[in-house]
Amino acid sequence: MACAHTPTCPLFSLFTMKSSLKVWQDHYCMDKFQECNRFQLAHAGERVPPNMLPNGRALQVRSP
Amino acid sequence: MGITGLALGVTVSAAGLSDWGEVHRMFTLGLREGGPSLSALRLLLGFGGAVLLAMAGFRLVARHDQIPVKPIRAGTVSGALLFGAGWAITGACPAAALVQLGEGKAAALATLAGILAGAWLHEKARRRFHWSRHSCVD
Amino acid sequence: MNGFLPWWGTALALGALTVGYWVVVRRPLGVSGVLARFTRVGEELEFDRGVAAVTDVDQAALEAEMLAMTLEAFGNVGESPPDLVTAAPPGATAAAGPMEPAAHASVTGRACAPVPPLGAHFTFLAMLVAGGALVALLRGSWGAGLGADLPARIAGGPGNLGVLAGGGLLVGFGTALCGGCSAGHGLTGTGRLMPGSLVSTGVYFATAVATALLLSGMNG
Repeated sequence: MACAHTPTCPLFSLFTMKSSLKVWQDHYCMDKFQECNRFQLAHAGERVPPNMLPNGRALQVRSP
Repeated sequence: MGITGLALGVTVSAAGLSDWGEVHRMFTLGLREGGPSLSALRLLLGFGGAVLLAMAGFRLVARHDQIPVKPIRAGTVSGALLFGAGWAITGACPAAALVQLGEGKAAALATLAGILAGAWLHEKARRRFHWSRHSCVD
Repeated sequence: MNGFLPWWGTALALGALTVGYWVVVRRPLGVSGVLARFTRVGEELEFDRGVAAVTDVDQAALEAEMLAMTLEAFGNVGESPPDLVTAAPPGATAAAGPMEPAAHASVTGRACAPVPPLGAHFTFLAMLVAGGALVALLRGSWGAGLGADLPARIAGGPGNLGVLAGGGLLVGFGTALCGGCSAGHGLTGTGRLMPGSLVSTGVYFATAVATALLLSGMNG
Protein backbone atom coordinates (compact mmCIF):
# COMPACT_ATOMS: atom_id res chain seq x y z
CA MET A 1 0.00 0.00 0.00
CA ALA A 2 1.64 3.23 -1.11
CA CYS A 3 0.97 6.84 -0.30
CA ALA A 4 -1.71 8.26 -2.57
CA HIS A 5 0.16 11.50 -3.04
CA THR A 6 3.10 10.09 -4.95
CA PRO A 7 1.93 11.48 -8.31
CA THR A 8 2.13 15.05 -7.12
CA CYS A 9 4.63 15.00 -4.29
CA PRO A 10 7.73 16.91 -5.40
CA LEU A 11 9.86 14.99 -2.96
CA PHE A 12 8.74 11.64 -4.29
CA SER A 13 10.06 12.57 -7.72
CA LEU A 14 13.22 13.95 -6.13
CA PHE A 15 13.80 10.59 -4.43
CA THR A 16 13.46 8.85 -7.76
CA MET A 17 16.53 10.54 -9.09
CA LYS A 18 19.20 8.65 -7.23
CA SER A 19 19.16 5.12 -5.95
CA SER A 20 20.75 6.30 -2.70
CA LEU A 21 17.57 8.24 -1.97
CA LYS A 22 15.36 5.23 -2.50
CA VAL A 23 15.51 4.56 1.21
CA TRP A 24 13.12 7.49 1.77
CA GLN A 25 10.59 5.97 -0.60
CA ASP A 26 11.00 2.52 0.89
CA HIS A 27 10.53 3.78 4.40
CA TYR A 28 7.84 6.40 3.93
CA CYS A 29 6.10 6.52 0.56
CA MET A 30 5.80 2.80 0.01
CA ASP A 31 5.41 1.75 3.61
CA LYS A 32 4.97 4.04 6.60
CA PHE A 33 3.55 7.02 4.74
CA GLN A 34 1.34 7.84 7.70
CA GLU A 35 4.47 8.77 9.59
CA CYS A 36 5.42 11.18 6.85
CA ASN A 37 5.16 14.80 8.00
CA ARG A 38 4.08 15.85 4.53
CA PHE A 39 1.27 13.32 4.50
CA GLN A 40 0.16 14.38 7.97
CA LEU A 41 0.07 18.05 7.04
CA ALA A 42 -1.81 17.34 3.83
CA HIS A 43 -4.26 15.17 5.67
CA ALA A 44 -4.86 17.93 8.19
CA GLY A 45 -5.77 20.17 5.30
CA GLU A 46 -2.69 22.31 5.58
CA ARG A 47 -0.36 23.37 2.85
CA VAL A 48 2.86 21.38 2.71
CA PRO A 49 6.07 23.42 2.44
CA PRO A 50 7.66 22.24 -0.81
CA ASN A 51 11.02 21.56 0.80
CA MET A 52 9.79 19.65 3.81
CA LEU A 53 11.21 16.16 4.09
CA PRO A 54 9.08 13.27 5.38
CA ASN A 55 10.79 13.50 8.73
CA GLY A 56 9.84 17.14 9.07
CA ARG A 57 13.28 18.56 8.40
CA ALA A 58 13.59 21.28 5.76
CA LEU A 59 15.68 20.71 2.69
CA GLN A 60 17.81 23.80 2.27
CA VAL A 61 20.61 23.97 -0.20
CA ARG A 62 23.52 25.89 1.26
CA SER A 63 24.83 28.36 -1.29
CA PRO A 64 28.49 27.69 -2.13
CA MET B 1 2.56 29.68 -20.07
CA GLY B 2 2.12 33.11 -21.55
CA ILE B 3 1.24 31.75 -24.97
CA THR B 4 -1.37 29.35 -23.63
CA GLY B 5 -2.84 32.21 -21.64
CA LEU B 6 -3.12 34.25 -24.80
CA ALA B 7 -4.57 31.32 -26.74
CA LEU B 8 -7.12 30.65 -24.02
CA GLY B 9 -8.07 34.32 -23.85
CA VAL B 10 -8.51 34.52 -27.59
CA THR B 11 -10.55 31.32 -27.64
CA VAL B 12 -12.84 32.40 -24.81
CA SER B 13 -13.47 35.71 -26.50
CA ALA B 14 -13.90 34.31 -29.99
CA ALA B 15 -16.21 31.59 -28.75
CA GLY B 16 -18.49 34.05 -27.03
CA LEU B 17 -17.85 32.73 -23.53
CA SER B 18 -17.22 36.31 -22.42
CA ASP B 19 -20.50 37.54 -23.86
CA TRP B 20 -23.29 37.62 -21.31
CA GLY B 21 -25.97 36.99 -23.89
CA GLU B 22 -24.20 34.01 -25.41
CA VAL B 23 -23.54 32.43 -22.04
CA HIS B 24 -27.15 33.03 -21.06
CA ARG B 25 -28.26 31.37 -24.27
CA MET B 26 -26.07 28.39 -23.44
CA PHE B 27 -27.55 28.05 -19.98
CA THR B 28 -31.15 28.47 -21.06
CA LEU B 29 -30.60 25.78 -23.66
CA GLY B 30 -32.24 27.99 -26.21
CA LEU B 31 -35.56 27.28 -24.53
CA ARG B 32 -36.41 30.94 -24.16
CA GLU B 33 -36.04 31.46 -27.84
CA GLY B 34 -38.57 28.98 -29.06
CA GLY B 35 -36.70 25.77 -28.60
CA PRO B 36 -33.15 24.51 -29.02
CA SER B 37 -31.52 25.21 -32.34
CA LEU B 38 -27.99 24.91 -33.61
CA SER B 39 -27.25 28.53 -32.92
CA ALA B 40 -28.71 28.33 -29.43
CA LEU B 41 -26.70 25.20 -28.69
CA ARG B 42 -23.52 26.55 -30.22
CA LEU B 43 -21.67 27.04 -26.98
CA LEU B 44 -23.12 23.93 -25.41
CA LEU B 45 -21.93 21.75 -28.25
CA GLY B 46 -18.65 23.59 -28.22
CA PHE B 47 -18.04 22.82 -24.58
CA GLY B 48 -19.30 19.27 -24.85
CA GLY B 49 -17.19 18.69 -27.92
CA ALA B 50 -14.16 20.10 -26.13
CA VAL B 51 -14.62 17.66 -23.26
CA LEU B 52 -14.86 14.71 -25.66
CA LEU B 53 -11.78 15.87 -27.54
CA ALA B 54 -9.91 16.34 -24.27
CA MET B 55 -10.84 12.83 -23.19
CA ALA B 56 -9.62 11.41 -26.46
CA GLY B 57 -6.50 13.56 -26.44
CA PHE B 58 -5.52 12.59 -22.93
CA ARG B 59 -5.92 8.91 -23.74
CA LEU B 60 -3.86 9.28 -26.86
CA VAL B 61 -0.90 11.31 -25.64
CA ALA B 62 -1.06 11.22 -21.86
CA ARG B 63 -2.50 7.86 -20.97
CA HIS B 64 0.06 7.05 -18.28
CA ASP B 65 0.71 10.58 -17.11
CA GLN B 66 0.22 11.39 -13.47
CA ILE B 67 -2.30 14.13 -13.61
CA PRO B 68 -3.28 15.22 -10.09
CA VAL B 69 -6.46 13.55 -8.97
CA LYS B 70 -9.61 15.42 -8.05
CA PRO B 71 -11.63 13.29 -5.66
CA ILE B 72 -15.06 14.16 -4.40
CA ARG B 73 -14.62 16.20 -1.26
CA ALA B 74 -16.79 17.94 1.29
CA GLY B 75 -17.10 21.16 -0.68
CA THR B 76 -17.52 19.61 -4.11
CA VAL B 77 -21.29 19.83 -4.36
CA SER B 78 -21.87 23.00 -2.34
CA GLY B 79 -19.06 24.82 -4.09
CA ALA B 80 -20.36 23.81 -7.48
CA LEU B 81 -23.85 25.05 -6.53
CA LEU B 82 -22.51 28.48 -5.68
CA PHE B 83 -20.31 28.60 -8.74
CA GLY B 84 -23.10 27.61 -11.09
CA ALA B 85 -25.43 30.25 -9.71
CA GLY B 86 -22.76 32.90 -9.86
CA TRP B 87 -21.79 32.00 -13.41
CA ALA B 88 -25.35 32.31 -14.60
CA ILE B 89 -25.77 35.68 -12.89
CA THR B 90 -22.54 37.24 -14.03
CA GLY B 91 -22.22 35.37 -17.30
CA ALA B 92 -18.61 34.83 -16.39
CA CYS B 93 -16.47 32.07 -15.03
CA PRO B 94 -13.09 33.28 -13.68
CA ALA B 95 -11.36 33.03 -17.05
CA ALA B 96 -14.18 34.84 -18.82
CA ALA B 97 -14.15 37.67 -16.28
CA LEU B 98 -10.51 38.34 -17.10
CA VAL B 99 -11.20 38.15 -20.81
CA GLN B 100 -14.06 40.60 -20.37
CA LEU B 101 -11.65 42.99 -18.72
CA GLY B 102 -9.41 42.71 -21.73
CA GLU B 103 -12.36 43.41 -24.00
CA GLY B 104 -12.79 46.74 -22.26
CA LYS B 105 -15.98 45.81 -20.43
CA ALA B 106 -15.61 48.00 -17.38
CA ALA B 107 -18.40 46.21 -15.54
CA ALA B 108 -16.14 43.16 -15.41
CA LEU B 109 -14.20 44.98 -12.70
CA ALA B 110 -17.18 44.48 -10.42
CA THR B 111 -17.32 40.79 -11.30
CA LEU B 112 -13.60 40.36 -10.71
CA ALA B 113 -13.71 42.23 -7.43
CA GLY B 114 -16.43 39.83 -6.35
CA ILE B 115 -14.47 36.78 -7.47
CA LEU B 116 -11.34 37.85 -5.63
CA ALA B 117 -13.34 38.71 -2.53
CA GLY B 118 -15.06 35.34 -2.69
CA ALA B 119 -11.77 33.47 -2.96
CA TRP B 120 -10.34 35.48 -0.09
CA LEU B 121 -13.43 34.84 2.01
CA HIS B 122 -13.25 31.14 1.34
CA GLU B 123 -9.70 30.89 2.60
CA LYS B 124 -10.66 32.75 5.76
CA ALA B 125 -13.58 30.41 6.29
CA ARG B 126 -11.46 27.38 5.47
CA ARG B 127 -9.03 28.25 8.24
CA ARG B 128 -11.68 29.27 10.70
CA PHE B 129 -13.75 26.11 10.27
CA HIS B 130 -10.86 23.77 9.47
CA TRP B 131 -12.08 22.71 6.07
CA SER B 132 -9.54 20.75 4.09
CA ARG B 133 -7.49 22.13 1.25
CA HIS B 134 -8.30 20.89 -2.18
CA SER B 135 -4.80 19.97 -3.05
CA CYS B 136 -1.81 19.35 -0.88
CA VAL B 137 0.65 20.48 -3.47
CA ASP B 138 -0.53 23.91 -4.50
CA MET C 1 -24.44 39.42 -35.41
CA ASN C 2 -22.70 36.16 -34.95
CA GLY C 3 -19.02 36.78 -35.15
CA PHE C 4 -18.39 33.83 -32.90
CA LEU C 5 -16.65 30.56 -33.48
CA PRO C 6 -18.81 27.71 -34.74
CA TRP C 7 -19.33 24.98 -32.19
CA TRP C 8 -16.69 22.73 -33.66
CA GLY C 9 -14.16 25.57 -33.66
CA THR C 10 -14.72 26.13 -29.96
CA ALA C 11 -14.55 22.40 -29.33
CA LEU C 12 -11.28 22.01 -31.21
CA ALA C 13 -9.63 25.03 -29.64
CA LEU C 14 -10.61 24.28 -26.05
CA GLY C 15 -9.89 20.58 -26.38
CA ALA C 16 -6.47 21.20 -27.88
CA LEU C 17 -5.65 23.80 -25.23
CA THR C 18 -6.63 21.51 -22.39
CA VAL C 19 -4.46 18.62 -23.53
CA GLY C 20 -1.71 20.86 -24.90
CA TYR C 21 -1.38 22.73 -21.62
CA TRP C 22 -0.72 19.48 -19.80
CA VAL C 23 1.72 18.18 -22.37
CA VAL C 24 3.73 21.40 -22.55
CA VAL C 25 3.47 22.88 -19.07
CA ARG C 26 2.71 19.65 -17.17
CA ARG C 27 0.13 21.38 -15.07
CA PRO C 28 -3.63 20.81 -15.29
CA LEU C 29 -5.29 23.76 -17.00
CA GLY C 30 -7.26 25.81 -14.53
CA VAL C 31 -7.93 29.45 -13.72
CA SER C 32 -9.75 29.77 -10.41
CA GLY C 33 -6.86 28.44 -8.34
CA VAL C 34 -4.38 30.69 -10.08
CA LEU C 35 -6.55 33.74 -9.52
CA ALA C 36 -7.06 32.86 -5.88
CA ARG C 37 -3.30 32.89 -5.27
CA PHE C 38 -3.38 36.64 -5.72
CA THR C 39 -5.63 37.08 -2.71
CA ARG C 40 -2.76 35.99 -0.46
CA VAL C 41 0.36 37.20 -2.19
CA GLY C 42 2.67 37.12 0.84
CA GLU C 43 2.04 33.47 1.58
CA GLU C 44 2.29 32.51 -2.06
CA LEU C 45 5.65 34.21 -2.43
CA GLU C 46 6.90 32.33 0.60
CA PHE C 47 5.61 29.11 -0.88
CA ASP C 48 7.38 29.89 -4.15
CA ARG C 49 10.65 30.35 -2.23
CA GLY C 50 10.19 26.87 -0.80
CA VAL C 51 9.65 25.44 -4.27
CA ALA C 52 12.73 27.25 -5.57
CA ALA C 53 14.74 25.76 -2.70
CA VAL C 54 14.25 22.35 -4.27
CA THR C 55 14.01 23.10 -7.95
CA ASP C 56 15.96 26.20 -8.77
CA VAL C 57 19.27 25.14 -7.36
CA ASP C 58 22.51 23.68 -8.52
CA GLN C 59 21.81 19.98 -9.00
CA ALA C 60 25.09 18.84 -7.48
CA ALA C 61 24.52 20.97 -4.39
CA LEU C 62 20.98 19.62 -4.13
CA GLU C 63 22.20 16.05 -4.35
CA ALA C 64 24.88 16.69 -1.76
CA GLU C 65 22.33 18.20 0.60
CA MET C 66 19.93 15.33 -0.01
CA LEU C 67 22.61 12.80 0.76
CA ALA C 68 23.49 14.65 3.94
CA MET C 69 19.87 14.62 5.04
CA THR C 70 19.59 10.95 4.14
CA LEU C 71 22.63 10.16 6.25
CA GLU C 72 21.21 12.11 9.14
CA ALA C 73 17.89 10.32 8.90
CA PHE C 74 18.90 6.78 8.09
CA GLY C 75 22.56 6.39 8.84
CA ASN C 76 24.93 4.98 6.31
CA VAL C 77 23.26 4.00 3.07
CA GLY C 78 25.64 3.29 0.22
CA GLU C 79 24.98 3.24 -3.49
CA SER C 80 24.59 -0.54 -3.50
CA PRO C 81 21.63 -2.19 -5.23
CA PRO C 82 18.68 -1.85 -2.89
CA ASP C 83 17.30 -5.36 -3.12
CA LEU C 84 19.62 -6.59 -0.39
CA VAL C 85 18.42 -3.98 2.08
CA THR C 86 14.64 -4.19 1.90
CA ALA C 87 12.16 -6.51 0.27
CA ALA C 88 10.86 -5.20 -3.02
CA PRO C 89 7.47 -3.56 -2.50
CA PRO C 90 4.48 -5.11 -4.24
CA GLY C 91 4.22 -4.18 -7.87
CA ALA C 92 7.92 -3.46 -8.16
CA THR C 93 9.67 -4.21 -11.36
CA ALA C 94 12.86 -6.22 -11.35
CA ALA C 95 15.62 -4.53 -9.35
CA ALA C 96 17.13 -1.67 -11.27
CA GLY C 97 20.88 -1.21 -11.59
CA PRO C 98 22.51 0.95 -8.94
CA MET C 99 22.79 4.08 -11.08
CA GLU C 100 19.33 3.95 -12.60
CA PRO C 101 16.44 5.85 -11.07
CA ALA C 102 14.52 3.57 -8.72
CA ALA C 103 11.88 2.01 -10.91
CA HIS C 104 9.98 0.23 -8.18
CA ALA C 105 7.17 2.72 -7.98
CA SER C 106 6.25 2.02 -11.62
CA VAL C 107 6.57 5.70 -12.33
CA THR C 108 5.55 5.93 -15.94
CA GLY C 109 4.42 8.89 -17.94
CA ARG C 110 4.96 12.54 -17.20
CA ALA C 111 4.76 13.76 -13.64
CA CYS C 112 3.08 16.98 -12.66
CA ALA C 113 5.40 19.96 -12.63
CA PRO C 114 5.86 21.97 -9.44
CA VAL C 115 3.65 24.99 -8.85
CA PRO C 116 4.80 27.76 -11.19
CA PRO C 117 6.05 30.91 -9.48
CA LEU C 118 3.60 33.73 -8.89
CA GLY C 119 5.20 35.76 -11.67
CA ALA C 120 4.52 33.08 -14.24
CA HIS C 121 0.96 32.80 -13.05
CA PHE C 122 0.54 36.53 -13.30
CA THR C 123 1.72 36.36 -16.88
CA PHE C 124 -0.82 33.65 -17.57
CA LEU C 125 -3.67 35.76 -16.22
CA ALA C 126 -2.41 38.89 -17.96
CA MET C 127 -2.35 37.03 -21.25
CA LEU C 128 -5.96 36.00 -20.73
CA VAL C 129 -6.78 39.68 -20.52
CA ALA C 130 -4.60 40.37 -23.55
CA GLY C 131 -6.39 37.67 -25.52
CA GLY C 132 -9.69 39.37 -24.89
CA ALA C 133 -8.23 42.72 -25.88
CA LEU C 134 -6.83 41.28 -29.08
CA VAL C 135 -10.11 39.82 -30.26
CA ALA C 136 -12.12 42.88 -29.22
CA LEU C 137 -9.76 45.19 -31.08
CA LEU C 138 -9.90 43.01 -34.19
CA ARG C 139 -13.67 43.00 -34.02
CA GLY C 140 -13.77 46.69 -33.33
CA SER C 141 -15.94 46.02 -30.31
CA TRP C 142 -13.57 47.11 -27.55
CA GLY C 143 -15.39 48.61 -24.59
CA ALA C 144 -18.84 47.71 -25.82
CA GLY C 145 -20.89 46.95 -22.67
CA LEU C 146 -21.15 43.50 -21.20
CA GLY C 147 -22.62 41.93 -24.33
CA ALA C 148 -26.40 41.62 -24.64
CA ASP C 149 -28.46 43.18 -21.90
CA LEU C 150 -28.61 41.77 -18.47
CA PRO C 151 -32.25 41.03 -17.67
CA ALA C 152 -34.22 44.23 -17.32
CA ARG C 153 -34.83 43.52 -13.67
CA ILE C 154 -31.15 43.68 -12.81
CA ALA C 155 -29.89 45.79 -15.68
CA GLY C 156 -29.31 49.49 -15.67
CA GLY C 157 -28.12 51.71 -12.89
CA PRO C 158 -25.66 51.14 -10.08
CA GLY C 159 -27.56 48.12 -8.81
CA ASN C 160 -26.17 46.37 -11.85
CA LEU C 161 -22.63 46.46 -10.54
CA GLY C 162 -23.78 45.25 -7.15
CA VAL C 163 -25.40 42.24 -8.76
CA LEU C 164 -22.27 41.47 -10.74
CA ALA C 165 -20.11 41.77 -7.65
CA GLY C 166 -22.49 39.55 -5.72
CA GLY C 167 -22.47 37.01 -8.50
CA GLY C 168 -18.71 37.26 -8.60
CA LEU C 169 -18.62 36.53 -4.88
CA LEU C 170 -20.52 33.32 -5.55
CA VAL C 171 -18.11 32.41 -8.32
CA GLY C 172 -15.02 33.14 -6.23
CA PHE C 173 -16.22 31.35 -3.13
CA GLY C 174 -17.78 28.49 -5.06
CA THR C 175 -14.77 27.73 -7.22
CA ALA C 176 -12.52 27.78 -4.18
CA LEU C 177 -14.89 25.49 -2.30
CA CYS C 178 -15.27 22.93 -5.06
CA GLY C 179 -11.66 23.20 -6.14
CA GLY C 180 -11.99 24.26 -9.75
CA CYS C 181 -13.76 26.23 -12.43
CA SER C 182 -15.04 25.59 -15.95
CA ALA C 183 -11.50 24.92 -17.12
CA GLY C 184 -10.15 23.05 -14.14
CA HIS C 185 -13.19 20.87 -13.60
CA GLY C 186 -15.15 21.28 -16.78
CA LEU C 187 -12.33 20.62 -19.21
CA THR C 188 -9.32 19.06 -17.51
CA GLY C 189 -11.09 17.18 -14.76
CA THR C 190 -13.87 15.70 -16.86
CA GLY C 191 -11.38 15.05 -19.64
CA ARG C 192 -9.59 12.77 -17.20
CA LEU C 193 -12.82 11.43 -15.72
CA MET C 194 -11.93 12.70 -12.26
CA PRO C 195 -14.81 11.95 -9.87
CA GLY C 196 -14.65 15.36 -8.18
CA SER C 197 -14.76 17.08 -11.55
CA LEU C 198 -17.57 14.99 -12.95
CA VAL C 199 -19.71 15.76 -9.93
CA SER C 200 -18.73 19.44 -9.84
CA THR C 201 -19.36 19.95 -13.52
CA GLY C 202 -22.73 18.24 -13.35
CA VAL C 203 -23.81 20.26 -10.34
CA TYR C 204 -22.58 23.63 -11.50
CA PHE C 205 -24.01 23.17 -14.93
CA ALA C 206 -27.43 22.13 -13.65
CA THR C 207 -27.43 25.02 -11.20
CA ALA C 208 -26.41 27.47 -13.90
CA VAL C 209 -29.22 26.27 -16.14
CA ALA C 210 -31.76 26.57 -13.34
CA THR C 211 -30.50 30.02 -12.39
CA ALA C 212 -30.48 31.22 -15.98
CA LEU C 213 -34.01 30.00 -16.60
CA LEU C 214 -35.10 31.70 -13.41
CA LEU C 215 -33.43 34.94 -14.45
CA SER C 216 -34.93 34.86 -17.92
CA GLY C 217 -38.32 34.21 -16.39
CA MET C 218 -37.85 37.32 -14.25
CA ASN C 219 -37.17 39.36 -17.34
CA GLY C 220 -40.83 39.53 -18.11
